[in-house]
Amino acid sequence: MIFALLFLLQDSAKIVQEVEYANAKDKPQFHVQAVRKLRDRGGPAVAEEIAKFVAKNGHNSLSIAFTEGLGGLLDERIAALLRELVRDKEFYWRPTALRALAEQADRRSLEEFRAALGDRLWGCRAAGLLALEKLDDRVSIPRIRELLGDDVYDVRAQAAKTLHAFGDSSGLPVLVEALRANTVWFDIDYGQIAREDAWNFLKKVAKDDFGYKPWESVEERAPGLAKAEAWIAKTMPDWRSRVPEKARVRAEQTEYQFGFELRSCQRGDFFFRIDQEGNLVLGYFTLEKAKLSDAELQALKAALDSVKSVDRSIPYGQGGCDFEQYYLRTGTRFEKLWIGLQGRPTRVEPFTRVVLDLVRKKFGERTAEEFKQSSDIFRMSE
Amino acid sequence: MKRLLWIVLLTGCPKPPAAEPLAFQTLGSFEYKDKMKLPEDVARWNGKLVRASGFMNPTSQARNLTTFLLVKDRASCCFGKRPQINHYIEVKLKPGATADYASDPVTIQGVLKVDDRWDGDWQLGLYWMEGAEVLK
Repeated sequence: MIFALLFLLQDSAKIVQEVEYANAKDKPQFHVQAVRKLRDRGGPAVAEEIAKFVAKNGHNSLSIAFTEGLGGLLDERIAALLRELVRDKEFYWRPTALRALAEQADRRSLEEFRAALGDRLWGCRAAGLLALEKLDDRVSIPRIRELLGDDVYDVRAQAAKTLHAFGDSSGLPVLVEALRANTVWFDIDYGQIAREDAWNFLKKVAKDDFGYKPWESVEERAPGLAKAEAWIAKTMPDWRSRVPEKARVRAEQTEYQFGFELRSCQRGDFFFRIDQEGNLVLGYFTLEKAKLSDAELQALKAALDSVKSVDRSIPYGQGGCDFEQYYLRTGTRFEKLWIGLQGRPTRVEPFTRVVLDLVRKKFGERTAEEFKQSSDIFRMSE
Repeated sequence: MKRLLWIVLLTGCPKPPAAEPLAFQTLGSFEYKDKMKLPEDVARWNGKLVRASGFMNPTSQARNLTTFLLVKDRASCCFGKRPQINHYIEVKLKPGATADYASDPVTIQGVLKVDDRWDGDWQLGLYWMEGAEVLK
């Protein structure tokens, strides 16, 4: 009896340590291990300790690895916690919490998943789709079809895959079209990421890899691409006309003179560029353009001159997965200015204000609000 | 004395060993299981002076780093994803040296230790480089 009690006490101390280590900011190397130990252990004692930890430390004390790991802990208290995390707009890892909830395929969270399809963060929209697929929620099919025309490739692709799981092939043209993806963001080849993803799915559906290799050059990919297009045309002769406007690949020949990349685990991403024709080009995959007037270009140039005066040989602010990066043209190449959380030098602020005004004027209040929300975390005063 | 000087000049000073290029694919191309015997093509790198390129994982600070993780791709460097235990090298720079975080790939040089270190039930890491220098 005494031995059993001692064993329980020892076990309980281990659970406390594992929950702490899974979230310890100074022990990132232990996060994944601790989560694995907790998942292997499972049971009500783990759920109880997690509830205590969250009550004491708050939502934003949770690490991304831990949030992800909650998906493997099947317990009503954990599902309730994940719903709470998803509803908390200030929680850092909302898309991850939603993916964890999706892993649980919890029917009581159905409304959360349906609502996620309209979320501002693309990671939430994609996770919502995955969850509805797991729950076989065919009522949502009309809404899922709409997301085939989403701004972000990952959402469009997940919509196509979810529809396919429901026996609806209407999303396949989106994936076949993505085999032509050619988007490049300065030094990152997003086109290849999309091509690989689409090809990996299509080759399973077709039981044929078409001899296509997503990493090869346009010329080398051409025969495989023709084969894939012939394959879909056999069952869907009008497939091209079924590709929604935003999913259509366009030849991108434009030269850019400036780029702004904001990536935030907490708030979502925001990208824009200024091309040589003086257009403000929003997005990194599906691009939206707005022509700037001479006066607007002048204002932007003045603000950019201030950014260029900042020493870009050093990074600013805190390290982590939230940063903004400025691509500044110097001759034929681009130099980068990297700014982490709470690190934006004062001389960059005028640029942020000018951009906010331009985005509001050209793309509307909602897009401007998205930019502002994501951008605020880099201000020094935040 | 003159003779000795001539011998030194003729034979030349001993050259420092050249660093071998090390690809992350070599280190990470197996599925790691706790306390397993590491594959021979991984273990053989232990104690070798190597040069490896990858991305710095920005942890809590971005400037004056004395240690950092060198990871194989951007996905594990910057977007909140934690790399697998065999997909990164824990780098400790030479005493007194510091480096600032850079979003472009960097090349580091130093002696690689392949050592599955544990503290009780907790694994500390697999690949280590101490006294390292950032080449670019």
